Amino acid sequence: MHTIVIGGGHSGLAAAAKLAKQGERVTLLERRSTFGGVMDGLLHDTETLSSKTVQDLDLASYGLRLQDPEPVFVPASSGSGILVHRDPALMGDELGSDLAAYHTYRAFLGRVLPFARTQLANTSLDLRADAPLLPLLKAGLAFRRLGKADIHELLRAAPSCVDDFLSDHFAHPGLRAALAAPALHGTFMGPRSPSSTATLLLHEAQVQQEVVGGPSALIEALLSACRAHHVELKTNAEVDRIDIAGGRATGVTLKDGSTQDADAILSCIGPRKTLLDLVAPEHLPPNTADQVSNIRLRGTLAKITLLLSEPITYACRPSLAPARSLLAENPMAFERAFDHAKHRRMPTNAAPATNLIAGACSIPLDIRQSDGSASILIRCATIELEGGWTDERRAELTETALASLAHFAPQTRQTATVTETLTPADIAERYALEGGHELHGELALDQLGPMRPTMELSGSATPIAGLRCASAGVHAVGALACD
Amino acid sequence: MAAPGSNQNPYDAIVVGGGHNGLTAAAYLARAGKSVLVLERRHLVGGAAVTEELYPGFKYSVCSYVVSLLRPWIIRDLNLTRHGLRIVPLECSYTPQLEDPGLCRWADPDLTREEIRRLSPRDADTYPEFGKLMGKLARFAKPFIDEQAPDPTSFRPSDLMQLKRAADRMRALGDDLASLQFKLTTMGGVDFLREFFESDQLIAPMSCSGIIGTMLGVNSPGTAYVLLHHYMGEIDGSSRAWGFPLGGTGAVSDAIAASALEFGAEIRCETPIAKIRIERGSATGVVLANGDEIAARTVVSGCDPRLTFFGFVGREHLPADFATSIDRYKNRGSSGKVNLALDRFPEFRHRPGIGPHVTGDVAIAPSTEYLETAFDEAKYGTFSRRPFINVVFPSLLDPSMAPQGKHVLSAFVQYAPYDLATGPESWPDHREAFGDAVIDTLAEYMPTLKEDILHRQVLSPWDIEKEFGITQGNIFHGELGLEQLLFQRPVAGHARYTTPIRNLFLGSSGAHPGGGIMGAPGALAAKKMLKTGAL
Repeated sequence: MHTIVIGGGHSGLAAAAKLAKQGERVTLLERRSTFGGVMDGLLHDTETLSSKTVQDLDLASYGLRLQDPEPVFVPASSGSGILVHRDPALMGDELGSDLAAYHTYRAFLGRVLPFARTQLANTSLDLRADAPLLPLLKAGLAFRRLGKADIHELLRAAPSCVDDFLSDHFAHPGLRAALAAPALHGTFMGPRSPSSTATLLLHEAQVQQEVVGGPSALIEALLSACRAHHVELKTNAEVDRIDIAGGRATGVTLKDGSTQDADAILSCIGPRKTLLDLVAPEHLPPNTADQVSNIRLRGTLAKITLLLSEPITYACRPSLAPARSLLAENPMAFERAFDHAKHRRMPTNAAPATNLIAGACSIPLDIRQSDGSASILIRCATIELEGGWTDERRAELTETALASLAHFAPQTRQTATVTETLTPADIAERYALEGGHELHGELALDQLGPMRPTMELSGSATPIAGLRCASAGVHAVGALACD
Repeated sequence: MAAPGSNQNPYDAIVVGGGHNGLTAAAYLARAGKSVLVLERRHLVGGAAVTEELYPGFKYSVCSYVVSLLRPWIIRDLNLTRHGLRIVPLECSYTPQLEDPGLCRWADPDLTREEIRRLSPRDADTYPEFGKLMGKLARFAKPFIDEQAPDPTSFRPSDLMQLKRAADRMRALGDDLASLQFKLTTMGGVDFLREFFESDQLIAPMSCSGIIGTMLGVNSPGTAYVLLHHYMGEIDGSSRAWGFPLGGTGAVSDAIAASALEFGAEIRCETPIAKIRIERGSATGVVLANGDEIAARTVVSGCDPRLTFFGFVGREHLPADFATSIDRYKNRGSSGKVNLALDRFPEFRHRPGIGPHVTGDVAIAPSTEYLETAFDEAKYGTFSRRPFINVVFPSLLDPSMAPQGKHVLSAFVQYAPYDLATGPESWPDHREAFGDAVIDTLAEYMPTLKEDILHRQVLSPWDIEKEFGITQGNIFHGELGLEQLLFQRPVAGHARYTTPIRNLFLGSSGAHPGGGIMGAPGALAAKKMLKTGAL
């Protein structure tokens, strides 16, 4: 059995290693000259890595070390900001009256999230009419075992907007911002969008431990696992099309014209790109093609890399040089930022004309620093920018982000040097991501669980025998889970 | 025998609030032979479904202005036709544009297709297909609004059977439709419509139905499903979403009130209550604002949940978790109303004349960007400077609404957030500016409008709260979000018209199936009261 895995991102590497470990002959084809995909210089968090993958591949034996996720510091214009730990016991007296609520909140998540973790990763769940009912009934029973109070709260919370949900629990704006931020990753939503609590819960369900050394350490470990299991690793090998004969995938043709035969193909570059770009239209049922072309993937991610002459510290708490920080004083900062993306405008630090709410309007930044450099993720830059992304726009985005940073950390004007800015268009091109979307498809209720990426394609199968899809675009929770 | 309403001779039921749902509950209870008293704070019944002559000779449907989904079985059960109810379907939905004739969607599908063809031939071909799909989904969804909501958390055999019926119906739809149903329930209106259509001038007016009465934008997830209402079509058996009752929406309330009276109910106007009387966890009547007490074996509220539970019951009588749930119940008022008396008909710039195009509703919804921008402004606490407006000319449908040759214009306006950035109490300072913004917007499409105005009434959500008693002026008694629908309306565990207070029931738009002049919450609450043995 020879399997070709298309795409050498973390999902492709993990899948290739798993298949090879099971004894298959595996060839991994990566378009770029390096492996890692979005984990190679784009994303900077690894806390959603699936512990199952770590165990299945015994990644510890390849040098992978895990730690509890670093706390996130949220600086403030007035006051001393807040350092948000996942464990309420570590919060000390930062939270004041919100501390009890934070305990209650984490306890609630602790009760309901194991259910979400299990069921959303449960690939036997299938909503189609001819699918077996048993897995659904089992899931239903597991759901009911949560007990009425938690079920009611879960069902009330999930469809609601994350701003309301967090405001129900907490007063501290910085805490709410820190908790809300990941709810919006990979979505086309703001914190006032209904169902953003569902994506918050999904994120929380996946957070476990993070990799010491970050994404590059994760990729190193995955590569070592691949090598140990004799995966044939090929870079600069861009697939042009998937060869199909008699309704069955038989191999691939590369951009250089060479062909490779295989018994099976696993594509980890996203279901939409796989089926619309690599598969000739005549091989897809029209219905499937329609549904796949409706998969939404409007990217909003941009990235700036900084070289630091000294670690970033914030004026509100100069003693701290946090590994992770989030620049957003309250959840509405994300809403204002999302407005820019929604209206296909450049992100700006200026308040909208109609905004009567006082306070800074600088764009939210998600920052991670270590060893003299910092990665800044901006999640409100739309790929669908009116007029398109240009060099001028890239420079403008850089300046906006630096100004936003300087608002809380003025000395960065002197201590930080920009080494690179990636606009959504740059990201789309460099990483061959359709829509510049890091998860191969937006997280939205109709694109999650048994609906991800579509009801027909959930569980990684495609209408073409021998061709399956993996990666965040197919995984029930759209995670960087490497499942 | 002691006087009715004394402790020795309590009413079977007191209905708090004489809105159309309260009246419907009263009529059903009286029809079952119960002694019923309806208490209404204002000088006339109808709540938000009232017709008032605020300017001599001109009758306004002051708040609610069209009828959608008024249940046919209620019309039959309560003999509303005999009591004078006549509803005429709106035959056209017109979306004018500033630069061109805009789009008319007619009751006649062929005419509509021709109109759409001007915008996009592809959309013109898709439109009937889309209608067929929606029709199928509407048939799936419709049973839900005619019965109490299935409760997925209950283990009772009757509930499990109800769930099974719903699941069977879902599976019977087939995969494609089931997938579509799921998308419809969770997606934003614009995103959903873009899967079918390309013309923004078509998508914009279609997407509006999902935002009415909500503090959401046309792109907000969860706003797509209201599209189905347009395909549930039950105005006089014809497939139209909206109808206009002759005599204004007050005529609906009047017909229900007449029915209730005929069945033997008593109705007292100008009788505000102060409290629902609670004794040992049970409702035993009401205390009026003047201090009088009236006893009843049951009380059913036609008011919104927050007013009912915090205004009339009091937190001290409620379980703490229930009170928290009501605290969290989303009630944001987002719309206002402008009613105009007009000296003559204000013709549209690009479709002049008093033709059939203006005998339906007119939506000021030129683009999705326009609608979303209107929402953004409200999100940050100001009324939309260029709002979404839904206009009806009642005098074209019922000449008795205005003197000969004159007209009334009813404008539903969104967004007008109850929570202004300067606080809801500042609405009196902004009300007229809000009215001006509405009229300025309309005048861009109807050039003579400003000269034609004889009288105007501007209602902000704050005014609606003050005048009609609806908390925050939320026309549906609470946002129609997924988390506040079905078995969660208003609160999971109390979504079947019962409340934590024994013998107190909720029969308003804050209960399943929610807002609009449907009558279903009132009727279903009454049925529940009759069935549970409370009476």
